Amino acid sequence: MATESSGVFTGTYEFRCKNCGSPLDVSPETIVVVCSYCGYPNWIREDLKSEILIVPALSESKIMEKARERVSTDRDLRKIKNMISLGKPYLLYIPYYFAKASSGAEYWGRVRVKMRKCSGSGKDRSCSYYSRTVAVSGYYGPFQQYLYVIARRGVKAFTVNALGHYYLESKPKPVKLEEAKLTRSGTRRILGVEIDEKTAADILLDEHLDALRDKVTEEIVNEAKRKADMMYSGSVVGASITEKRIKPMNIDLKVSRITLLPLYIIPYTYRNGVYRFFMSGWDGLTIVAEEPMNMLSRLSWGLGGALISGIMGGLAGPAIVMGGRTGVFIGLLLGIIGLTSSYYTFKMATRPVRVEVANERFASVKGFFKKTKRVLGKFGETTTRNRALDILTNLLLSR
Amino acid sequence: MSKEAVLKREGGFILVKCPYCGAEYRVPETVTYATCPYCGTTFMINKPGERIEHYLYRLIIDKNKAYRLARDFATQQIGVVDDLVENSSFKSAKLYYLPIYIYEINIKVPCKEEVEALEKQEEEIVEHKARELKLKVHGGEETEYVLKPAIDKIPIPFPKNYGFPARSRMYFKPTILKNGVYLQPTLDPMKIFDEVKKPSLNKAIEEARISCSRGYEVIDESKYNGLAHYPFWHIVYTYNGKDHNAVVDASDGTIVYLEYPLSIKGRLTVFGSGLGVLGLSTGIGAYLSASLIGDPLPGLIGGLVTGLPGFLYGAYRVARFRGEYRFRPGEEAVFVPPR
Repeated sequence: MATESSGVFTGTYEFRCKNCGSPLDVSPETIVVVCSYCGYPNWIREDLKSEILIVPALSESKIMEKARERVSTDRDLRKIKNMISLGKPYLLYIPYYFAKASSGAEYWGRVRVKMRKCSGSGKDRSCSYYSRTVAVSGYYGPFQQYLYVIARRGVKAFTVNALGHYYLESKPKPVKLEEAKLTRSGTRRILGVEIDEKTAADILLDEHLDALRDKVTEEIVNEAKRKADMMYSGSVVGASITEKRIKPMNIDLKVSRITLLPLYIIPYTYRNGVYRFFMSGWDGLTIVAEEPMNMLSRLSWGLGGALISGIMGGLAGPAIVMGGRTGVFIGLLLGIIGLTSSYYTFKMATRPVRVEVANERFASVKGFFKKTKRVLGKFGETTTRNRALDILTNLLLSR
Repeated sequence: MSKEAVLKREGGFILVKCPYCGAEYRVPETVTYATCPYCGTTFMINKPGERIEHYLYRLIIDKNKAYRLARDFATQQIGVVDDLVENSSFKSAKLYYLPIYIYEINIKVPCKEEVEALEKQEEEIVEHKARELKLKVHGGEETEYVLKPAIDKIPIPFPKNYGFPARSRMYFKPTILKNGVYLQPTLDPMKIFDEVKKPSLNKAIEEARISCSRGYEVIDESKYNGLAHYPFWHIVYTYNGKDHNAVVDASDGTIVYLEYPLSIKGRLTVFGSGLGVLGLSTGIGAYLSASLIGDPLPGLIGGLVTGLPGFLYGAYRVARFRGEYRFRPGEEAVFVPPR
């Protein structure tokens, strides 16, 4: 680590601001730290010096106004607004890198496509299944993406990710740090930068190419299905990749300068519980909100769960009894969906707080859903899903 | 600086000499690293010349705040007693500094025929200090930071894959050694490095396998970044003469583990609701089955079985001696509050 830099190393792990001499809050990974007294950016790693951008935050009184607005307009909170008391807002400026990425890929794949061929109609209708291997190849692209990475090491926090995501959607205009004219109360809330641009670029590229590979894999399956549909008689009921080659190319990654984004955390109390609003500092949108679980939400999760598991069980039972081997298969499948949803909904009904996420698209990539998606994705890649739905419709129609 | 640090070994302890300030002090024989209580220098006992990056997370939540956070969060739990705030009291608090290793994983697996081209491009990037990285060819790649506890047995309930908060990092200060249980790292960071790297390495190689036709080359630039100590409060509070435990992240206030007393009314309500949900599921199943095939039994059994996990989950939560909550990073913002 470079010690002869603009931040002055005094020998006992203490850095002082080059501009005003105040002590600096530096960790071994810090690349730049903005002095909390005078706002001067001290580059601890002089070799990585570049311009810093910042999205200025709304004032504390403005953000409190937004928080009060949230309480009096939110569907659930406005009913209890007289029992809610808002605490003091806490501001943080978190460093991010943003990127615009674009790439393409040459691909080639062998896909086993499952076909169904039916003849006759009504009661005489009979279907048979067969599989064919289809080869596909081509070029996919350009695939474009906007991405972010938090410029701090090892940080795992949902709200900080939600803020980065919201920035990409709302695109506020950042200004140069010197032009932002931050007061002392603003500069002391700036977190140091710990990831240099090169590592940030590696992380972003990794993420982008992973997304590209997923897209191309999807494309290989879809193209094979289209091809099979034209080449063979009957209809496609499923496809699974047996072999593939994806070669990413024409990669273009533009990484932004370090951009500081403001995040406001506003605590509030209701009865004995403490809850928080996490608000975007530039427009006061509540990106993540914790809310009390009321009787109604517990009840609706419970009843909703009962409904789904009841329907699934009600279909699964008859399917197993009536449908022969395929019926058993479908019955078990429906049963699993019923079992999972019953567990999930009851867990939702009994959780301590409710969390509302402003950005639905972000909400869908949250940890739990990611896991579920992965499981369902596997399920979808094979012929299982289509076949199951197919047989299920037959079963219901024949009744 | 790289002189021998070990002066004497006796009775399960080692007498070491700090390579930086020369102070002599004792550490348990099992530790890999020693931190000087006088100047704060952390060094490897076997290789005293090698100083490592060592920092800690600032203690922001004091023990009273930690207790209040835990207690207030307990009131938000389902089935908890009504008078928790009035009738519970703080009993004791112990501060633990958990040692955590930080690794930067950086693996590139370019295709063989393209290695040369990649090297040339990297040179260009350095030359022009270009903001735009243009890499034309690629096999596989993985870059991420991985945190790993530096001890085998963590003395407090601690979630897997727990990350750092965004704020409050600082240099290690020897004064903290007096304030809490400072756990010395016992695992060898280099020994567990391979294990830490493995998932990323496998993924990058798999990516290369599907993109390269003439083999690939593994360029591993992963490094061990250093050690961090992260503070957690172990709080004990009493309600009705019984002790309950809580573990609170002393840096950002996240409740990591919590025990709370359950009321009879609360237990019955949760149990009864679970039973109601189960009954409803069974009823819907039977009705559906009756109208589909004229026999309610298969659907009745189906609805009973599918409704069971929810009921059992609820019953398990309230049938125990006391309520228990655990923070799980994967459930953040779904079942548990976000950080």
